[in-house]
Amino acid sequence: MIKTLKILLLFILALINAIFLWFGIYLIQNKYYELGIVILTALVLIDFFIFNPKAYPYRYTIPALIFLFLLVLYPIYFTIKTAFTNYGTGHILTREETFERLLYDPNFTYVLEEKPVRFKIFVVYKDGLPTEDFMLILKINGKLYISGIPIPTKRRGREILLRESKLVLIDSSKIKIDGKIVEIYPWTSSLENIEMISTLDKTYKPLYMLDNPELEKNSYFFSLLMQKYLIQSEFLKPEDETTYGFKIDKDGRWKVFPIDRLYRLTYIGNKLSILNTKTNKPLIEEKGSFYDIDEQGNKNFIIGYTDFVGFENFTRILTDERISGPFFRIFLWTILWSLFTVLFSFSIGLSFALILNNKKLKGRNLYRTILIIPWAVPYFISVLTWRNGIFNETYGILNKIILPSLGLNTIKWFNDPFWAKVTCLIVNIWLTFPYMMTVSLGALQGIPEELYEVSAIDGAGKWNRFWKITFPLLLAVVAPLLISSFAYTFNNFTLIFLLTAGGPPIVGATTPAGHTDILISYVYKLAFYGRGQEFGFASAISILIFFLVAGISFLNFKLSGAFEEVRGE
Amino acid sequence: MVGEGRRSYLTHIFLWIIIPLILFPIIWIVSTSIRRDQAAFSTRLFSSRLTLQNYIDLLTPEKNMPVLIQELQNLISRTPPYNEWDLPKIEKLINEDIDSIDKYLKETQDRYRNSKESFNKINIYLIQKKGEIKDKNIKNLENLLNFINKKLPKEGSYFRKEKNINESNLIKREYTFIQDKILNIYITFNKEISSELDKILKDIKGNINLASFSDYPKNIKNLVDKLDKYPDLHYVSNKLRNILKLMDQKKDKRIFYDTEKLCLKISYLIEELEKNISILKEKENKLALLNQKNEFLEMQEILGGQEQKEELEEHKTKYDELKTLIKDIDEKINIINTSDNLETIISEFSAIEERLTEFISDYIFNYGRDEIVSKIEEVAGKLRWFQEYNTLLEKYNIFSKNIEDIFEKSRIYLSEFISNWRSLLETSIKGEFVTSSSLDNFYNLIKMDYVNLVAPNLNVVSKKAGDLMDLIPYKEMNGNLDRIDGELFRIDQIWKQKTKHYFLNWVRNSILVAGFAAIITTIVCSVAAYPFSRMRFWGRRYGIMTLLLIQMFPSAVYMIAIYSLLNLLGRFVPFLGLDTLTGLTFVYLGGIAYNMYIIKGFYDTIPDSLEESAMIDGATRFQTFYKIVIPLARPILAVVIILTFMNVFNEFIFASIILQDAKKYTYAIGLWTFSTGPYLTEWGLFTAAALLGMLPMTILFLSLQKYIVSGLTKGAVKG
Repeated sequence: MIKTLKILLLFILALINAIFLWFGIYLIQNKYYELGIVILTALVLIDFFIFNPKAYPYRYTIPALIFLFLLVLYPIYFTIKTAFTNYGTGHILTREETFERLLYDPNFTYVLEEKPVRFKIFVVYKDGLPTEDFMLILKINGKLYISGIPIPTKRRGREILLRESKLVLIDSSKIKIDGKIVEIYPWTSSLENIEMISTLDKTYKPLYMLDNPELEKNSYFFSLLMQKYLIQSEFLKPEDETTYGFKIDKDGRWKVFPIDRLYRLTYIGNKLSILNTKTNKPLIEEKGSFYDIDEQGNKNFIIGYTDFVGFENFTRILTDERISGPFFRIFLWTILWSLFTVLFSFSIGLSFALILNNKKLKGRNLYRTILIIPWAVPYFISVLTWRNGIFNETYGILNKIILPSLGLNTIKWFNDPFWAKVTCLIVNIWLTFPYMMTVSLGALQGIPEELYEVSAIDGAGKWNRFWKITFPLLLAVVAPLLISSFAYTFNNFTLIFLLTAGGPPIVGATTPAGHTDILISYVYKLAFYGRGQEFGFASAISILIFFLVAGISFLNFKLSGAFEEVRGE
Repeated sequence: MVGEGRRSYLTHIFLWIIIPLILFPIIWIVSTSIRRDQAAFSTRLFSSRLTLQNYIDLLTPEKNMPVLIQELQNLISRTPPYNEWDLPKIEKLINEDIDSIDKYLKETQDRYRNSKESFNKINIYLIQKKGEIKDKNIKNLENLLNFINKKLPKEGSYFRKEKNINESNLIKREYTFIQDKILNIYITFNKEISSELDKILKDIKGNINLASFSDYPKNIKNLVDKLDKYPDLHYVSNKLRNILKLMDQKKDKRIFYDTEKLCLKISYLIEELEKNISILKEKENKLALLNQKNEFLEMQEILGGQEQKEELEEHKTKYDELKTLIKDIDEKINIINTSDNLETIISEFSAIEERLTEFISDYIFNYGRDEIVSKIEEVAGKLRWFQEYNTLLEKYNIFSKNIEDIFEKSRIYLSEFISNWRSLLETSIKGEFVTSSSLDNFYNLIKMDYVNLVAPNLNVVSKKAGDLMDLIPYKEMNGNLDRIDGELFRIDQIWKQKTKHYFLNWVRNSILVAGFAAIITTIVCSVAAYPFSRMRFWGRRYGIMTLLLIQMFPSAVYMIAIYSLLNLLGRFVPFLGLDTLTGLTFVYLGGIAYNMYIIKGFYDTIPDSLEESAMIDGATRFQTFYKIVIPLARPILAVVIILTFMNVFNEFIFASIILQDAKKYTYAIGLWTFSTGPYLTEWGLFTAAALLGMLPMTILFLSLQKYIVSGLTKGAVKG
């Protein structure tokens, strides 16, 4: 029994080894060094834990470590790394990848001669519908050339960058392409008249041809083929080495032109770079971007790659006024927002706790349970309810029913910066006061009765008793909770995102910043919204948040003595 | 003791006041989710018109008319997934759909008939009550008018003149009215009576049918005398004289029997005429007097200067406005008094109500609130239902006409389709793309005619019926109103195009993701926590704390990293990529430290001795772990599973950046979409969906609050 189990476990281990090894190496081969290293390190650790008897206790933690490495440590590493790069819209690829694109992507080709070549596409039909199995006949200088489906020659992951195919001259009714015999019917030099192409097992019938009213109806199917195959295809005529490809003509239709590559590799000094073959000037490389100089001498952005920019993202926060303005505003609001939330929700929660702490109060458990409900309801539901049903400026019951019935003017809950902030605070206080109430109630119950009795003998009044005994003792217990609550509110992204989405926007900011944005929602907007995705900048702010919260949490641990708890054992 | 009792009593009162306020959003969710009306457009917090339709739409969305027709069209065109179905299956579904459409048509007709029945019942009832309605409301209004008259602002001299002018206008009007009456009498004489007299003359000449009332000639003679006073009537009096003459000639004192009636009528008319003429004279006198007075006042005013006039300006307009109001309403009351037609009565009352409400808002705007306006408000409130009922009547009639039209057309299109679908399907199966034109027409009928002609009227009728239930003073009609509302609501449900949603998918996705994430996390953590509780090794002391510290960093910071990681993984391992539920589950597995901490705490409470004795018996460390510790730790593991489940279920950020396809959404994002875009005002759907998700989660939370609270505080509080 134990033996079979052991064999089974060993087998699983072997499997994990194989998978991790393959994946790690594969990643490194594909230049994802960090993730590859993370995986290989995890693998080494796993093997070490299992084969070293001294490391026995660590065996238990293996699965946890795998998730920890992948989902916590790697993301932290990634965030730190990204903060020092310009990763974002236009700078997603690596430098090597941009080279590949520039050299092989058919987008970076130019038309040699503005003389389109006639073409006709034939496909195999199945059940009356065209399939993707096609052949292409071109008429170049009065001669007919045929091509099958171009073969992918450059890939990036699962994406195909380039397909290539050699054109075959049709010099008899039967010709050979890719080792297969193909028969053209009828064999004529007129492209219009060719009705059918047949191989041993398939027949191709016309699908599309420009200026042929009958076939132009199929432009939908043609556009499908275009998207899937023809856009990235190049056709090579072997006789004179000219390349043909599909380009959009001035009239907006896809046509076949003789084309040539726009860029080729060159060396500038020792460094590999790119040369524009049309203008014969090398591309300018700056801050992870390639620029082309056109005939007029204008600098045009071509493509960008992820590059290290050092501390630029951090200095931008301070130096770029259009960024630092909103940044410090957001920072201030984040602090105020956390502070007010904790302050108000604690006062309200404590008031309720004081009311419910009366042992003579009948049904206090029921009251407590009822008052906990705002905390118990999934918070996104509450937030959406507040936003949609209550504060909505047009339909919300506050503006539509309650305020008018009190004879008050309606309030722009989301479009007025001040009221938007008030809205955020109201909702968050509503959400958090039950927590404060619960912990205060717990702390109150921990205060010994004798203290009150003694103080009563000394003649202390109610007020005095609260401020001199209850409050200090309570605060000693609750303070760490208030701090962690502060830290939590500091990063309460969901609430802000769902309630106001940061709005109303700050006028004049270059980044998508809003009046109620807190740092973390600002990060989110930088990364995923706005004109472009600025992952680098967003990561830099993430790191700042990281340190702020870590500081608060560490302080909190110190304060509550959580470290001592473990050490004391 | 007594004081304490009173204080706790006050505490209870305070809590019972504050709790509904605090829980208001929750109360709102519950009450809105069962509202039948469009809560987002209603001006009331709560409604008495209830339904479970929102829940039905979410949980078991029915294939209603538009859906059925589109499905049929798809079946005929054999668009995917139907292109892979075989013929019998398609035929079966087509037949089923046709049956359903037929059933729906019948149901709509039945319901329409029911609503019509109720509608008629209300009408008949109100016609019966016509007199009462008239009397009661007119009495109310007259009371109001008297009240206003009494409270009219004090008039100055300027005013008196105004009043005189008003009065003289009134008299003038009455004057013309009486004149009209007199004219009418003249006309009756000259036309009706004279023609009858002609007939009598002819008969007397022919000696036919003489009656035996001997004293009539005398009566006639009197009449002739009276008529002679009015020169305009000499035509009639001459004729009567002729009759007398003829009678004398014939020496026969007998007269036609119906001449008696005629004589009575003539004498009545003459009486009437005389009365009116005397009133006319009286009015003439009064008018002259008033004019004289006004002239005098005007003179005085010219002498007295402008001051007084300005002082009285406001009063004047206030007085004026009230006066015109009285006048207008008086007029309308007159119309109502003379009318016997229910519709006119209702429309006039509703016009009065409209006039009053308009007056109230103007009045308050100009002069502020006072007792006059509140009295008017009170009366107007009682008249509110006329307006509502009037709209109901109007819209119901339009609705009724239009829906009958739709029935007729639907029947035609359906029978067309039934007769030709087989041949269409045959061509479709041969590979041609076919659509049924009758289905197209049918669909357009719903999309255009129903939406534009029926639905708006139907909704108004439905709403008015609901409002009337609160307003109408005849509560015995509420049953019928409710029925109209109910039947029309159901008709709308059958015909209206509903937005497609994937609520059940979302809930299923959430349960799957949260369930798997919870189970896997718990297994991993329960294993990993064990050495921290039982063994000595490097990193034990700070291990979990460090992990806790790391995990205290907001996961939102990792968004970009996680997004890129999944993007990368997806290229090589498709099921872990973006926009996959498995990828999302994978991401949720990162929350480990906190659960490890809780489980470790529980392991610490399990005594070592059990394991030690097992190890003496030859069990390995791992065996003692899963045979002794795990079974003992079952309760805490259950708690961790549930807590993790809840956390993942409530998670929003990662789900929102990873999932893109609406079908793959989790409940949290799904609910979010229910509160934006086209759903912004679909409060019924939103609140019902919210309640469905909220209820189990809240109950779980409340039942586990002990663990949640202690878990949360443990991170910070010692012990």
